[in-house]
Amino acid sequence: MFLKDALRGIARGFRKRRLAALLWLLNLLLALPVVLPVAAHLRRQLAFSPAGDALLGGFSASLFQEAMRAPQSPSRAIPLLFATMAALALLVNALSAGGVLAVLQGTGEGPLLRRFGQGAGRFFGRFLRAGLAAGLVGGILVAILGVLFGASERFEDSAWEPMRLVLFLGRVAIAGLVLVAVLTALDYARIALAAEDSHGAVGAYFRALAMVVRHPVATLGAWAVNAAVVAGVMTLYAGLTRNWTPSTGAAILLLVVLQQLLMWFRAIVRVGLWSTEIDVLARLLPAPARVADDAALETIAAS
Amino acid sequence: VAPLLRATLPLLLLALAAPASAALPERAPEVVDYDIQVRLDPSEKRLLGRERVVWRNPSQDTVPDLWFHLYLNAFKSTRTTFYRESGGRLRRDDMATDGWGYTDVTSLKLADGTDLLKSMTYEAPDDGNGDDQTVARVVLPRPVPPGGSVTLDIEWTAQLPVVFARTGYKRDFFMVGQWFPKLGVYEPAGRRGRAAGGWNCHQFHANSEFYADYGRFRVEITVPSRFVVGATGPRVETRPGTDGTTTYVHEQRDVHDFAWTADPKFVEVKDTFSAERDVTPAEYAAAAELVDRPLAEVKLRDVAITLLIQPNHLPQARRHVQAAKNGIKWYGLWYGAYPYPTLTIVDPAPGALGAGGMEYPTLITAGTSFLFNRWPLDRIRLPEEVTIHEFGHQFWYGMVGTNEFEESWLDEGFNTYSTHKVDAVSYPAMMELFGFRFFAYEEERMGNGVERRFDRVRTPSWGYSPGQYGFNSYSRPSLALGTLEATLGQTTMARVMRTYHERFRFGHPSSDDFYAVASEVAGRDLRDFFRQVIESPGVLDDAVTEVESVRVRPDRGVLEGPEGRRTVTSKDADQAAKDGALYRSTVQLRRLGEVALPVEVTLRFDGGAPPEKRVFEPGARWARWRYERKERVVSAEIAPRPLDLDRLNDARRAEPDGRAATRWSASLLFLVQQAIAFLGM
Repeated sequence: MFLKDALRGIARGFRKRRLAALLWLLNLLLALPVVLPVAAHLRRQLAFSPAGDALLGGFSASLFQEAMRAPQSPSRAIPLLFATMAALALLVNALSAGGVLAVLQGTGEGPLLRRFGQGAGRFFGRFLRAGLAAGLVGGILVAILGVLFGASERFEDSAWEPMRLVLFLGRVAIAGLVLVAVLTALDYARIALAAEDSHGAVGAYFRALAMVVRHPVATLGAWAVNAAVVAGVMTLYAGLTRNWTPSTGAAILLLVVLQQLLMWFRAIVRVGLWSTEIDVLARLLPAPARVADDAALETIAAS
Repeated sequence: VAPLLRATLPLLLLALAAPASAALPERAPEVVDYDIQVRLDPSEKRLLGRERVVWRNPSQDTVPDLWFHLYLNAFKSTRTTFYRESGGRLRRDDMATDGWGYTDVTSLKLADGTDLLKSMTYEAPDDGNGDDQTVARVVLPRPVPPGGSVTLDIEWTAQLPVVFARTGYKRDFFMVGQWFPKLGVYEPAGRRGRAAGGWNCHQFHANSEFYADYGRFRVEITVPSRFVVGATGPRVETRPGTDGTTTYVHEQRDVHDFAWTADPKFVEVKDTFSAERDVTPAEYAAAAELVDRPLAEVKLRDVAITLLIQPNHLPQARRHVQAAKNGIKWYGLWYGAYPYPTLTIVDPAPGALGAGGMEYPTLITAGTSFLFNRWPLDRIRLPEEVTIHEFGHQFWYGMVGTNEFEESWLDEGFNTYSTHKVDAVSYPAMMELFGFRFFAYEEERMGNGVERRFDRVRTPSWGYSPGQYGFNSYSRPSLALGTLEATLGQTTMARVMRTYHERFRFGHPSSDDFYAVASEVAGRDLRDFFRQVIESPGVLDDAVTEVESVRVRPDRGVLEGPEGRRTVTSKDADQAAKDGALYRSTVQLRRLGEVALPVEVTLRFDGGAPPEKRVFEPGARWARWRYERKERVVSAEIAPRPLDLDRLNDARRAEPDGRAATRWSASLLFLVQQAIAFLGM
């Protein structure tokens, strides 16, 4: 069931290409302030250096490090830039989620940008509160996991050599599952808030979290399918770039275009996930929410 | 043909029968003999030992005392110098809680029964730490005259620590190193720059390895029969006991240490390095030419290789053995044949990696993970790297017995340099993973930064500023030797290393001895090179900071000259510039680091003009070279030197080329975008 839901959602995502392009653009705008100082520094270091041309033949860890530790390197500022970007991304996430849901659920009027903007503004406060609730839950769960993982350290000293790896993978899997559950619940809470136009953001989050816990296959399954699609495409990209070292200007341009097309594709899949989650919520939530969602789905179908 | 054959056959047979490496000393001076009987108690993790030590005075001094190392006492408590310096953490390994180790000498007598135990004192020559018991001194009732000898009988027990800093136990795995009371080195006046003779016997420090004299070892190891045992030297006897134990007897001469290991889980893999099969005639010929020695002198010897590997690492057995063979081959061809009949490689048990990556005479410990058994991680050649490196210590530490306490670069640095050379001829890269390649030398380059300017390489291993021992013992000397090679050329450098090894095989050279050999073989005084890169702090970073070419605009205005007054307008000047097309090029160089070595700079011009070479003199902190000629300077390139900490500023071109920066900036952008997408965008 969740496979069908997910694939149907991705198909809808493809129909909402312009919305996805908007998400891609936001992503790009967030990334650029972090990357541009580094890019400018790399240009200063590499453009006049014949030794830098070795990087056209493939990545060299030592050469890249030498470039990044040169005077005037922004490498010390990168952690701060990254942290700022992450904080901004979480805020923009709260904004864009409203915009995406407004478009998908058919609220608002006018052209895409206007509907997106209206949704973003209308739900920002509630979505942010839901996000903070998710952060709180996430923090508590991290603390609990930290205690559990700490307790599991005594099993590391084992004569069975793979034990350390098994424990590590187990921890990663558990932490990953918890993180995905917390974030998926946030999606569902936001969908419900938008559909019901209600204001109880924190309550909505906990109801959504309870729903995710009660229906893990339906909710996390859809996420897993989308993640697998993205992973598959990224694996193809990795395979391509492993055997392709673009060194001419045209080839590098082609690489840039390909990378940005992939980011657009990721945005399409994300829109598809939202769409799938609207379906799933409509199926799992009681009648009042369903009415709202059915209306939304009819609007989507008509669009 | 028959008479010719009859005439040459004896010569040919003589050549084949001639001992390998005729220029190399066959035997070490026998300063010490150890005859040891040791019994392992695996349940208590304890050794019960007895040894007869014969020490021969190698000096012209009358020696009144003997100094011993009791290395295991480094792990006795938190008060030891080793613990204070390491904080219980070394080589990314933590000392186990309450996993202490120590040695108790229970009896110490002369061969005639005179008791010396009461006169034994603990010494702390390096830091005066009264709680450190890693060095003991015994005053002899009768001093040992020049050329004389003394025989001691010592009984001791040793509590092994949980594996830490190379030695100890982990469950049923035992790596027994630095385990018996061991004499220091009596250095006669003149050796390693000593003004007067004396004992060189340092405390066990966190950042130090060892120093000892050559001699003969005969060790009887008694363990429960279920254990598989490996040890220094060939096994000469196996004696089953009546109490469920077996005694293994190993003997080896011309070595300065003895180590052994025991683990019931070891799988024993045996192979042989064949001097005929594993080295081609062409490789022998090339090596002989490279090091400028007769063919007979580069001939290698067969070596019996024993790999003691953990069962779940068996798929990597061939890799370990092949790496050992690569080491025996290339180190042997370049520096001199490996003279011992055996080599044992030990794969430590899970959780005992603190015992890995260590060298003892004819026995080395490697270290791997089951993860490297299969694709894709089998392309990480860590087991090969470690095996080659530890084998290489047979040459730099083993046969050239440098003082690792005081001049660690002479073993670790030389060996890191040599390891990378073997890596380079044996493997395409040390890591090949999903298109990403990592070469062994890159790690050293990545460690070489401006923060390395505070220590000098030639420093006692406990005297470096915090965190600087590893770089200054391994990486910087290796980069320095690479730089020396770039300066002298590969062939001369190969002959320098060969000559140094030949001259000091079974000897105890100092840095100064190496400087002298290098200068002698290179035919030039290299003392300034070593003064700057080994004896002084500072980094090497020469940079081309400017390469610029502008069209020369002729003089304008009312010009007076021998031909009278002439007016040149700006328009006329521009036209003349176009017709004549002269360029004024400027190349500027700067020394950003403290090290100032002469270096050749290649200047390239456009229009097919031949490149020009100039020397950036060591006396100058900067230089500006100007040219006025028809061709523009397109680039200036400083000759590559591994020690230079920034390759990117070693050369500069006049016109920018943004492709590399764009290509990797785009990929960085892509990565950051992925991270943002992960945050829900």
